[in-house]
Amino acid sequence: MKDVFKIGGREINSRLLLGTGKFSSNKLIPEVVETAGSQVVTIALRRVDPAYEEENIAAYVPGNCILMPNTSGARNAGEAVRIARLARAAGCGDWVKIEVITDNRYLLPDNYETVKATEILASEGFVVLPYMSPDLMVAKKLVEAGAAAVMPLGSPIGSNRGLRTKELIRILIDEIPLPIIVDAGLGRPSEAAEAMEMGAAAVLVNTAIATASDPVAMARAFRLAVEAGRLAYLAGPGETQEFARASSPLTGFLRD
Amino acid sequence: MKIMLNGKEEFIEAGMTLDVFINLKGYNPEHIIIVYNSEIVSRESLAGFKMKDNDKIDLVKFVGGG
Repeated sequence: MKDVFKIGGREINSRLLLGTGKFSSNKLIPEVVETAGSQVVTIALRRVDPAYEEENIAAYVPGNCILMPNTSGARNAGEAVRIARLARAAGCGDWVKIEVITDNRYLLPDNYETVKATEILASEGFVVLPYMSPDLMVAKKLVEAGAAAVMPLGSPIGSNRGLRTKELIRILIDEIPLPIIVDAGLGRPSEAAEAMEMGAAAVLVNTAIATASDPVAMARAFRLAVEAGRLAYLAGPGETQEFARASSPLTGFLRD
Repeated sequence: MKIMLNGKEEFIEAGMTLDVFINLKGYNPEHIIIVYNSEIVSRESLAGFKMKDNDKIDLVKFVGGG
């Protein structure tokens, strides 16, 4: 049976979503995207800095990708909505990752404002993927608000600390009827595989790939890990046991 | 007259058009998004677009992000 992954009614061919921040050169991005096999790629919107001329990142993302602007920099729902509308008006399409943050130390999202922004943008026809702190009640509110997926953090943004919120994400996977995409904090392919094995629909990775010594090779490693984790989930892992269970029969031993 | 550029006050010649202003600032309109009083202005309409006192201009662009 074909393993179909859909977000907002659209079939997506890769369960590895990719961020474009922190690459040492934007010129790496096309090869990283291609190697990762990603179809959904995130970008951000910023005021221009007169001090230095930055290139338009969208030009480096292959044309067959879905560009998903994030609302980073937004401190409340109103600012997130404004950024999303601007990005769409600038030609970015309907997809948006809601990111509302006021905490500068851990960059943890404001779940309350995130729900408000999701409701407004979903009603305006956006495909809304909210980044959130894993919490079952908030996730249910995001479903009601019209989110297309729910994106809980594994650990703080850019920390490479892995799947620290595993038990809370497991609850979301069990209870929420939308794709659960683990976003933020995954630092190693093994952690992406772990998220996928437990039933996450996808993962979103940026820092771990962008800051690797060889981002292209790391993109391939994450791609394989995500595919392996998904296959393992579909294969249905055996139960864990507290004590050893012999793999061979416990009879017919060759001994006196 | 006074305008707000990316959140900061600037004083410019009255009646200046957006194309002249963007050029004066050293930006290529092909590479940025011009937001005038919360509305995006198309590149084609920059030339005839007269700026007014107390208007707000944001010059933005897409950058890398996760």
